[in-house]
Amino acid sequence: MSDHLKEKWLLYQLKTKHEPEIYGQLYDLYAPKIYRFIYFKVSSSMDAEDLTAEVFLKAWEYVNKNKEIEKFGGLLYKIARNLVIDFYRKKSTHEINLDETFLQKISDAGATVEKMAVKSDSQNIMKGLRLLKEEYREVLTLRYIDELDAGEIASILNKSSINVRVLIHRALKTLRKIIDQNQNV
Amino acid sequence: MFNRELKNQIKSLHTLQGVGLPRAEWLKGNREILLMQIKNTLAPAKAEAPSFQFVQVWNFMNVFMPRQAVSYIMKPAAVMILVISLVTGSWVTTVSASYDSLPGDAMYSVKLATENVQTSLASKPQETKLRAEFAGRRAEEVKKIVKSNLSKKDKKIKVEEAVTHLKKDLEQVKGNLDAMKNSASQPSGVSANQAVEVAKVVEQKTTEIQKSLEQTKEDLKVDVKTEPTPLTGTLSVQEQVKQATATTVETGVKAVEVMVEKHQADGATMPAQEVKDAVDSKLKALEVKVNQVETQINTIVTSTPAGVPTTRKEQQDAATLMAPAKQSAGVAKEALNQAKDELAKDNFNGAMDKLREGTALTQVAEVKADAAVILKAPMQEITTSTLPTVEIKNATSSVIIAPAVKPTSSATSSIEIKK
Repeated sequence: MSDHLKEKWLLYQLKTKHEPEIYGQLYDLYAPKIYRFIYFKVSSSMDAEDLTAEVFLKAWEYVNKNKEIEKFGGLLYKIARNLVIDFYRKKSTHEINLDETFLQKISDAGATVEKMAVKSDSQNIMKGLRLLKEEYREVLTLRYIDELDAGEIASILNKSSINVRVLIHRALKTLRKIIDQNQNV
Repeated sequence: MFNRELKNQIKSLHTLQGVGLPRAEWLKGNREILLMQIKNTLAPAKAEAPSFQFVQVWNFMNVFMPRQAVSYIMKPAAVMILVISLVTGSWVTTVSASYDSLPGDAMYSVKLATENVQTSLASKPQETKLRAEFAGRRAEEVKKIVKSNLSKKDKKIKVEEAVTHLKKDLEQVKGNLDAMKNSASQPSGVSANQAVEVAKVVEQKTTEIQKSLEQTKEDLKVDVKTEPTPLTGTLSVQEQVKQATATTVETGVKAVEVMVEKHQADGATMPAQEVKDAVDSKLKALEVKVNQVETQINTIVTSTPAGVPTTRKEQQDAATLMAPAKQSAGVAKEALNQAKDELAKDNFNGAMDKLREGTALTQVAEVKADAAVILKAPMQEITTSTLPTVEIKNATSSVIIAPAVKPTSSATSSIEIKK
């Protein structure tokens, strides 16, 4: 069964039975993805863990109150996005700092990176992503790292699909420009 | 760098080993904590769930079908299936399924659709009785909405919907009674006995509805002082309830007219004493109403809406404003007394004429009293205000007066009778 169908089946069962174990299966399906989505936005894995846990608790409130849920994944990303916004509001800083350990992993010090032929490219991409404005970084990570389609991203960001496609196009263009500039320096 | 290459490189970030992946032990531990937390939020399990529920099917469609398909195809289809099953099923099922729903609820459209199907399948006398019954339900809905904790805006919208349906049903009842009353245009298949039976049911039902609406008016009195008068177009909840009451009273009088008519056509259809009792009960109800309006007028003259006694000057001003209302109430009382005299002489037609006249005049008196209250309000504000500017006075009066003196349907009918 594809993840998409599995999600729908689990959501149906959850709405009908309200069983925690079914919610647990949805957690298994989405927790790594949501964690990664948050991890790319916040400064540490500890914060990412806390926020991921909160996302699943908030999503349960939706399920428990029988609120209409069209796509469970979309709901989780939406909650995650809002929690990250709140997180930065509380921290009173809008600067996105990527995890030190993450940078280490793709830097010379990381053992993993040593095995990678694309090391310098990855570093460039990361640098470029860090320099992008939040809106562009968000659509690119949702599209290429979380592998969501334009429709799903549109529903998470409350935009139209066309708008999202335009944003992705502009974000890629800007990222390419930044990387080219960095390479020329 | 080409776009495709760039996209692949971004994608490669996610395949980097260990990057953006949660710790396995955290993932497992958090799952256990999460499930424990959500178990605590669950309500205790019900004894035994039925094997099949409509909700399950509905959830299935909601999850697996596109939202547009659910909104435009499945919802109307589901409502139709429900209506058909409720109509063809037992009466008890109908009541239990949607009886308690109020305007705005999901089941309300099912309730109305079920009623519509029932009336369209019924014979004329049965339809008339059903509509009177449904009007009663609308009155109960209004009562529930007024007593609810909804916001004033929501209350107004919901009351408006219920009152619209109530008036529509009663207008239909009046039309059917008119057709039954007039022997020449009597619908085929409706006997005099059936017409009398329908009239009795309608008369009883309208009395109940009137009581319910009067109770609602009392419940609303608390809000009257705080709710601003709507400036244009829309009616306040109080005005809507008043209009509904006026239509109910008119329908009740029409039912008694049918009884009188049928009695006069054939004395055996309804005994004279029963007709006399029916007319008498309407006259008593009218008497109560006239007295209420008179009390209301006197109270307004001697105190402010907040219950504070007014000064002599204010009383004189208020008495001038209330004079037209008082005059109408006086004429209504006169008509009522004449109706009683006619009834004592067993002149049912004369008594009914005067009853109609008295009913209409009472409604006119009520409308005039309401208009005077609104005219009086800005005057009091002006006399106590610390910033009495002419421009503001005029602006306030002109804005508020316009809708207040706008005649309602009942007011129009009463003026015609007066002529």
